[in-house]
Amino acid sequence: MRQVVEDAATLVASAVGSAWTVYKYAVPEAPTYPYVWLYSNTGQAASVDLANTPTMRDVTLWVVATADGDPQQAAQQAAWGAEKAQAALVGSRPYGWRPEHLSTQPPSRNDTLPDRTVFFAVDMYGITKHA
Amino acid sequence: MDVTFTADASLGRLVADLGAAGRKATLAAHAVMAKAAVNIKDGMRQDFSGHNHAPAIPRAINYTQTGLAIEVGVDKSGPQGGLGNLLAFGSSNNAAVVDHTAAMRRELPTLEKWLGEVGMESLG
Repeated sequence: MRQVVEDAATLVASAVGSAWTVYKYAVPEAPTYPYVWLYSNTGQAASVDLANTPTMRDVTLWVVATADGDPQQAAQQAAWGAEKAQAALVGSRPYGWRPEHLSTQPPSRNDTLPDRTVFFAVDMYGITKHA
Repeated sequence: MDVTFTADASLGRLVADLGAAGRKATLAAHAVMAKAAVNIKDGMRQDFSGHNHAPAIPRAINYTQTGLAIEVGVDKSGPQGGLGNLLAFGSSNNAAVVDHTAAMRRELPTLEKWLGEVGMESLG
C-alpha cells in the first residue's frame, strides 16, 4: 500500500511546512531534523458487502514526528509536528480514503541515540481503501 | 447501542454503551464483552508472536473487564512486557513491528453483531 504512504506524505508535508523533512518508508542514517516519517503495513483484506467479497484493504499507517535539541523544545516540536500531521490526515478525504486515528504515543526520548537529544511522537491511523 | 474503540500505550479499549437497556440485556452484553476480550487477547498474542528478540512477550498480553469495558494489551510487568511499546510504536528511526490494534479491529464486526443480538432480544 505504498500509495497510502505517498498520498499521506503529500498531505503531511503541506501541513508541517518546508522547515520539516518528510521521510517515507525509512529514515536515513543521518536524518535532517525535524522530520516526519511515514510508513505502513500492506494491510489486510476486508469486505464491505453482504457477499463478503474482499474488495478493500485495511491498512495501518504510522506517522512519527521527530525533533532534536533542548529536551523541552524538542518534545514540544515533536508534539507540534504530530498535531499538524493529525490535523492534515483526520477529516480530510482528498484521495478517496479518510484515516481513522487509531492510537497515539506522546513525545518520548530515543535513548538509543546517545550523541543527540531526540524526541519522537507516534500516531497510528487506520485506512480502508479499495484493494 | 454503540461500541467505542480507543488504543494507546500498547493497550486497546472497547466500551459498549447499551443506553437504557435492562438488567438481563446488560448481563448478556457482559458475557459478549468477556468473549470478545478472550478472542482479542488470543489474536493479539498471535500478532506479537514470532519475534526473535521478544519470544516471551505473548505471555505478557492479557485483559481486564470492568462492566461493559474491556482493556486488552501488554502488561508491562509480564515477561518482556517492557518491549510492548517499542514493538507497537517503534522509535524515531526504527519501525514498529506489530499493529497492536489489529486484533481488536478484527473482532469489532463480531462484537457488534452479538451486541446487536442482545439489543434485539431486549426489545422482544
